[in-house]
Amino acid sequence: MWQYEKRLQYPVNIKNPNPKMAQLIISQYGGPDGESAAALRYLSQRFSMPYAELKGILTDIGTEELAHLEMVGAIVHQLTRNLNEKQIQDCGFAPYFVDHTVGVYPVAASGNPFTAEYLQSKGDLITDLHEDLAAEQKARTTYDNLLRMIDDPDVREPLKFLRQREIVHFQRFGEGLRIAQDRLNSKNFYAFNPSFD
Amino acid sequence: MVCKTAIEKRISAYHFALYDLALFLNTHPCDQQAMQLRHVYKERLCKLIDEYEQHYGKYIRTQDDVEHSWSEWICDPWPWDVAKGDGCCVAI
Repeated sequence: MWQYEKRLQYPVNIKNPNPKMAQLIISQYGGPDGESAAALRYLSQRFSMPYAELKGILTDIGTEELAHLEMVGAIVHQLTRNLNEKQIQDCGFAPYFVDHTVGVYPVAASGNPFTAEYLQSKGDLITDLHEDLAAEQKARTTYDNLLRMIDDPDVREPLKFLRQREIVHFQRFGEGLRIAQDRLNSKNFYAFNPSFD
Repeated sequence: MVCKTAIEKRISAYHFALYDLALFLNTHPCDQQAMQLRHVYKERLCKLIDEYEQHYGKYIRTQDDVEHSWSEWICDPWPWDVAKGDGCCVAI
């Protein structure tokens, strides 16, 4: 069960629209290493996690990813306000505009729509936790790449916050993996599934 | 009187600190220092919300906070709306 909180986890107040930037940032909404995939991945993996600590971090981080999805959506929405036809055509935003006007749609910067192929829920804690650690680093790299191209401090600040959260999540998942391995037989340190074997 | 935006920002910061401590506690459930810090931050957050409500009316975070009229909940701004004052609240 969830309850909505009517606030963003970190404020987004962008003064200057920039559809070109929106088209890149939307990758963190519906792209291969975006927040949709993250939330679905963690909230799905929870069900087969054998240990309480891991159920706890997957639930909380999965929920936080939904809050990040909302922040990325807010950034894209605010970057595509009040556009005129010239801005839409000059910024390369026209293809997106034709398909979605200025609606926020889960799609990658490359144009590929969101797919569950971006994530895995393998039912094996060692496998899933390694996927989660990799996913946090891939998301962090994507935020780094976006920050390389964006100068507007109104856009940079929330992106820097989101990048920082990937690092915190990596730390927590690392602790989760340590907790899991401490409970496994030393002979099966890397290949044993306590929820199935 | 404390500026509304400033107090909202402080409330938000305490919510964040409490959440981040909760995340830490998931993998360190016996850490007494983190639990203690959570209690301290919870008290400070309650005081801040009291202070906010003295000046600006009910602090609405979830639907459970609504007291009188449902328009307290549905009224603008929603979280993705641009803050008022910059004249940019209109969508395309």
